Amino acid sequence: MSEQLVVIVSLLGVASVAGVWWKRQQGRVTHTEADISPRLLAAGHWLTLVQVSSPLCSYCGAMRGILSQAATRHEGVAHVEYDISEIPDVVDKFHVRQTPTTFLVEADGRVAHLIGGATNPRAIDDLIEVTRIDVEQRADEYEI
Amino acid sequence: MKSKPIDPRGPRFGASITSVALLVVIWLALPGASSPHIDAAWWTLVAITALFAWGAILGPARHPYGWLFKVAVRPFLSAPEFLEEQAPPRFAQAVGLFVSTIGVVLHLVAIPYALVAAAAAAFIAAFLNAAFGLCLGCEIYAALPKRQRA
Repeated sequence: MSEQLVVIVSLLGVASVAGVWWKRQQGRVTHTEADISPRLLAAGHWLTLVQVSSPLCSYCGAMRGILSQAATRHEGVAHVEYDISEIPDVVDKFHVRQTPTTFLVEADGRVAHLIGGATNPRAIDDLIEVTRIDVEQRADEYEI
Repeated sequence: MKSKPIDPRGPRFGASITSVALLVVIWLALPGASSPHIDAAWWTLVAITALFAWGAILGPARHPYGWLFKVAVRPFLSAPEFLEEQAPPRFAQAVGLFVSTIGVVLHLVAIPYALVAAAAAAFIAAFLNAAFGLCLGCEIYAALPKRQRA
């Protein structure tokens, strides 16, 4: 009786800790200095939301909706989606180990931010805004 | 053949039933786990395995738990925020089928604690799905080195 309770409570504990850990990883933003090939971006936009998806991915569909709506809300922002098998170079370079993973990429290929997992529309809006301010400030630093 | 997307809360509802059923297996199996014989715990895991097989072959939309969700739970919920493809939860069912089959078979050949171990592993995956919406098998698939991905 007590043995059964101990095992069940331990299992619940381990699984809960794992679940909370995973939840906290979702939507985690990383700043990078690296870049990806501008070929992968949508031409004529100052920012491209590059989504990496896989066939077995619970939240890729949700993220697709969130990102494409963000792209319509913000001027000059585009959303493109790749399967994890289509862009092995990027996956290796950035150690993409979960889907969806989203890159906020400037027109020259500079990756401003990287979002691991799914996140909410507000967080996307905020990140786009942060990136826009950053890009504008950089543009102000030199005349030509 | 592309199946229609589903309410993601459907598979989570199913996973919560599976979690409880797996806890029942662990509860029943532990007292006699060191000397395996065909008992209620084994038969319960056989039933769970059969339900995993059903979900893996026909998909979550044509599973008894999916039907139960549709008639008994869905009417009380608001519209889903987003829809999910059937492939991820179906894959999760296949992973569950694999793990529980190992437990069923190893118990039959009298490996001590195999039933409890398999039920515990399956429970962790089912609980993570039910409580957190995490598809453990899908995450593992995405994390595989690309040469191992199909």
